[in-house]
Amino acid sequence: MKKMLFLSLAFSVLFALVSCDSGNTGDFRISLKLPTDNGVCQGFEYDEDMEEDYTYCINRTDQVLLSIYSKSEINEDYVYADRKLIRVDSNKNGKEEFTRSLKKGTFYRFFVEVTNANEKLKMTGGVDGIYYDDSKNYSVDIFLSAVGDFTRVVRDRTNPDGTALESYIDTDGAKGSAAATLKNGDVFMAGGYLFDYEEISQKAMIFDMAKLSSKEVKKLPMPLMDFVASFVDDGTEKGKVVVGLGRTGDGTTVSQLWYYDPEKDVYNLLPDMGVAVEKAKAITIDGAAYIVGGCDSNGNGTTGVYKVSFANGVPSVEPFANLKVGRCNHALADISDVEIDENGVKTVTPKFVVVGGSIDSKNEGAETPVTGENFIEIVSADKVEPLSFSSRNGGDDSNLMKTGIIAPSATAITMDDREESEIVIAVAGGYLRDGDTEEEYNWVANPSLVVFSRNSGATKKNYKKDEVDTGDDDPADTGDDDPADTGDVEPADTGDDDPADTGDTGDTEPTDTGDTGDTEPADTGDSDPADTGDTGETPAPASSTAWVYDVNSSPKSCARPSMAVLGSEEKSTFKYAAVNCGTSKLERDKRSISNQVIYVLQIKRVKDSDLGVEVFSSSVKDTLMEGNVDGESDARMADGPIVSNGLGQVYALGGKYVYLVGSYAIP
Amino acid sequence: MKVFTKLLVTLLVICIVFPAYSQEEPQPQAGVNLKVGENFYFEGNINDSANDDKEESMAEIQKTPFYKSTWFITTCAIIVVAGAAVGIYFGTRTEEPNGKTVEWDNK
Repeated sequence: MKKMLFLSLAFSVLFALVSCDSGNTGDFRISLKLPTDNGVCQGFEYDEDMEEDYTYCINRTDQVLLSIYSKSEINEDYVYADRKLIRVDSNKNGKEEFTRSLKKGTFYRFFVEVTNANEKLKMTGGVDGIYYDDSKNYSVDIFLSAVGDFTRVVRDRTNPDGTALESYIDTDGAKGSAAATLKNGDVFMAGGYLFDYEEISQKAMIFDMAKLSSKEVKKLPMPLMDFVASFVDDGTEKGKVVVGLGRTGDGTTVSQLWYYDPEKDVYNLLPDMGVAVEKAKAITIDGAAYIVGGCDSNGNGTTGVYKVSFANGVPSVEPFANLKVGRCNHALADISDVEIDENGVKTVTPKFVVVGGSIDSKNEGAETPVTGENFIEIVSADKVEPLSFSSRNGGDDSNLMKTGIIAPSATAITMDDREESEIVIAVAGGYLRDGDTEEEYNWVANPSLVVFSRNSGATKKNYKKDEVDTGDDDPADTGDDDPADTGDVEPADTGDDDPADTGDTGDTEPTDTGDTGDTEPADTGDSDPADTGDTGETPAPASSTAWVYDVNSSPKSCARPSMAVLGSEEKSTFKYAAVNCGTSKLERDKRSISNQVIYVLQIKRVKDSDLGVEVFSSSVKDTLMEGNVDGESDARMADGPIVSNGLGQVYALGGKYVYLVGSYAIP
Repeated sequence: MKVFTKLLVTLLVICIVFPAYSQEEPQPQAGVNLKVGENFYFEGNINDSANDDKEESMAEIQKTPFYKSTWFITTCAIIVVAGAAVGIYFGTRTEEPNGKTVEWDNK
């Protein structure tokens, strides 16, 4: 009897255990999370005019397109696998099977696009680096943000304050923090001076974008601000983050570099660069991090460029190049040469530009900007040279070489709308000296949006001063009379040609800057960098320079911005970059902090009617966020990092919350 | 549901472990040993059980361990049946898994 009882019990336990595990059948649930809508979506009513804005909704007239990409090895590129178009038939919710099977042992990337009744793209989102094993069940969140616009990342739109993705930074924000995106799409952020606690932070955090959660990870080896954080690919699932340099808690500059291992949650010391610097910049190209410049403990700019990379799991730090001018407070943009052979093997030759900055590190307003021909330098493995540039008329109408720009943001954008792709460099924000003489000047936030492009000879011949003063032929002219004129920089004019235009032309133009009177850069005299007017001298022939620049007025003043490329549609005539503006004031103290301003730059070719050539226009895109700030948030900041991921999405950081800028497409 | 199943498993484990690994304690020597040929006297009324130390001692000797008690066996039997039912239900059900789904809620 006892044995029978024992056997019965044993079988029962076995059955129960089997039943416990019976649910793990490789289910994969993707939950789409939407931005806060203030209840608008519940009251959806379709009409032709669409007076209400339903951008943040998935409604009955919408379509959801889920694209699936996969790769079997972590170091391969993703390839298209499948897609599912879902027609939405309910205003409340929806559920649909998107595929019958996913392949075991495969990495997946999911990208979601929501289009409205007019087939205008209105929201996108995605998740990266999901390793699928059919013996588990998966539940993945994908947060959708408005395309070409930003929204605060929340897990539950009905409770934005309670479920927002929050950083370790409090309401008053920070300055000098740094961030990097990991290979699986997670975002690492650390350090910075926290105004709420009046100290340099040692905290580090990882934002899990597949779970829409954040967690504090191992603290930095020491408190750091104005330091570098850059992704390095070591062949592992998440990769590593190089962190270091900068300024620590006692005010001294730091020479150490570490790499953070997200798998083990540890920092490992890298070989010493031999120089302690702050305000250096770092950029990741083809899996290696390049650390550029920085100002040393005496406040002098340094010229060193170092490459940090992994080979067979072993890290190395090696000198890569030397700048011609030592600097800090500069910006970097990747203009690498990429070649793909007939077998699909990609070869990247690292090359980047170093834009502006200061030759010293002093209190704001006391720095000396980098000027002259070395305002921009091109750095590659075999040489460093100044980037030779001019304005369209062959001179330097905006006086960029004269005034320089301190703390600008820059990024390289590939214009692929023509048979041959072309790289342009967008520059925004920063601050500069505005005045006629060395003695009399004011420091102002850079009022211009500048696009550098390779000189194709598209310049005006026989350029004369009289013709410039007529206005319309001036690339920097913000006049409204000719929409085809490159001078027309109406940032809010995104019109019907904007692929992200959701058809709503109602009250959603809070940033209509058609009247750019206050920010008109061309009315501040000759020394105004955006003034392309009376230069008082005959310009040199443009053909003598390798690059030319076009200037538009910026409706936003950003003294310390950061910029990242936003994923844009292939072959589109519009390309985009997102800017984390930061404060408009030069100072970085608590009195100067402001709301977190985020905007999207739209870069496009336009025909200059007077020059008779195509030039590049840069303008600030319209936003649903009034004043380009999150009106529901009381969080502020001085400056913050911005990062992009493999899906072309951009995350703006540096404040209490995390903001997602929705991309148009996967790059 | 899984919480319930786990609770069931825990109870089943208890039902197995206790009877299987509990050892009966050695019975203490008790009672009255009589030798052959020895006279035995009993004083008092044989039907009077009050204040009878010997009867109390015998009750102690015959006390049943809890895992042999009716209530324990009954409980275990119920758990066995319930556990088997739950196990058979979940182990053999043919309900389709949730599959690969995408879902959203507009609220």
